[in-house]
Amino acid sequence: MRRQNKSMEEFLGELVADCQPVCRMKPLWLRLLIWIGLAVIGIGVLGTFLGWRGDLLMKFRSTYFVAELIVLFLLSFWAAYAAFKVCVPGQRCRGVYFWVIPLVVWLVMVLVSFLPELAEHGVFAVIGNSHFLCVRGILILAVIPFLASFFLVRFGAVVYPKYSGYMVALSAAAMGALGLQMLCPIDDVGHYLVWHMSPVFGIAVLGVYLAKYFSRW
Amino acid sequence: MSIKIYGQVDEAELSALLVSAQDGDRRAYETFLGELYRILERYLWRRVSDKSVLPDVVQEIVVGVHKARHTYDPTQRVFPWLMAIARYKTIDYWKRRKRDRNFFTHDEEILLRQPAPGDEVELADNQWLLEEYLDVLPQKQRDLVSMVKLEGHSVRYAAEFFGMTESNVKTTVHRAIKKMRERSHATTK
Repeated sequence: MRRQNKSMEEFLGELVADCQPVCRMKPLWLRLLIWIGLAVIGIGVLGTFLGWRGDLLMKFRSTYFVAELIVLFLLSFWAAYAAFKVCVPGQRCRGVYFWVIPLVVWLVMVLVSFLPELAEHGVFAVIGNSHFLCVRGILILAVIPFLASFFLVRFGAVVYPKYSGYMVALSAAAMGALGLQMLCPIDDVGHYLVWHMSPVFGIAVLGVYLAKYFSRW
Repeated sequence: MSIKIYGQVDEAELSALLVSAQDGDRRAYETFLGELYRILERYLWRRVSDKSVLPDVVQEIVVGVHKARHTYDPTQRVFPWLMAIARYKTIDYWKRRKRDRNFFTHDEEILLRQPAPGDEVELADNQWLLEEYLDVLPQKQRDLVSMVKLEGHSVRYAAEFFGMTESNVKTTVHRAIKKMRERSHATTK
């Protein structure tokens, strides 16, 4: 389409001719509900396939374990909220930064448990062996939340590509980490920091990088 | 609440037109786009220093609004929605323009550099040389070099015009410049 040499009338005429009834974006709460539903089903199915940890029912009696799951869920929820909010032009508001609160709480919770162990046993003893299976687990569990939020965001018109990419990836990765909590039987805080928490940030940063390729419209 | 944009267009009216357009009302959409075009021209006039690109930027934004019209929520104000798209598309336009200009090497830029104004003899010589260099190219390459490097159109625009991909245009123009450079070296020897 050679736009430059066209008169304004001709150009607008083409757009008017293309005017069909459009499918409006669903309300934010409905998009969030769809996303949560798909993410929970995805984690349920994939978690069953990968195998839940043997002491899962026992772990639900631990306040710390449940608190960690809640914090991860809130992180994932508010990141998805931000992603869905900013994919509509002109909708940026304070609410899109709520994800920072659960993120800080999560960091504090882990570091408070980690630092005494670090002081007692030293860095190598605390971090332990390589557990790439945990990284693989997060990636597998994050696939469905990621695809769901990706398509819901793509349906909008992203005007902050990097931020949207970061939020989509962070919400999916946090959901993956939440699922992994219920799969991985290792409770060492060093292991948790390196093999559960770091991949979440890694995936989120990857989202920033990949966003420029997938958010064009 | 009814707000006049630039003292002329009623925001509530503009919103109503867009909502009708979302339902497929072409007449409402035509009126909306006409108003939008005028708003954007006025909005960008003070913000874009190079006035020659103004029609391009306005058209980019209008196309953006057309593509994103399904995202407008009738319960929200239309002006912040429009301006967010305008801002994004304007920045995108400049980034792309900068990127398109940066893909040639320094040598290639020198080869195609225009002479200083007022230097008629050199201008005539260069014009003649340029035509000679362009003659070594096949028609397609010649058209692409003329469009992208001499007329100053963007790679994206050339790709749309010739029905090619952007990377294909870049490669073709790159090869054409290489051929022209070889011709230039042969002439100077």
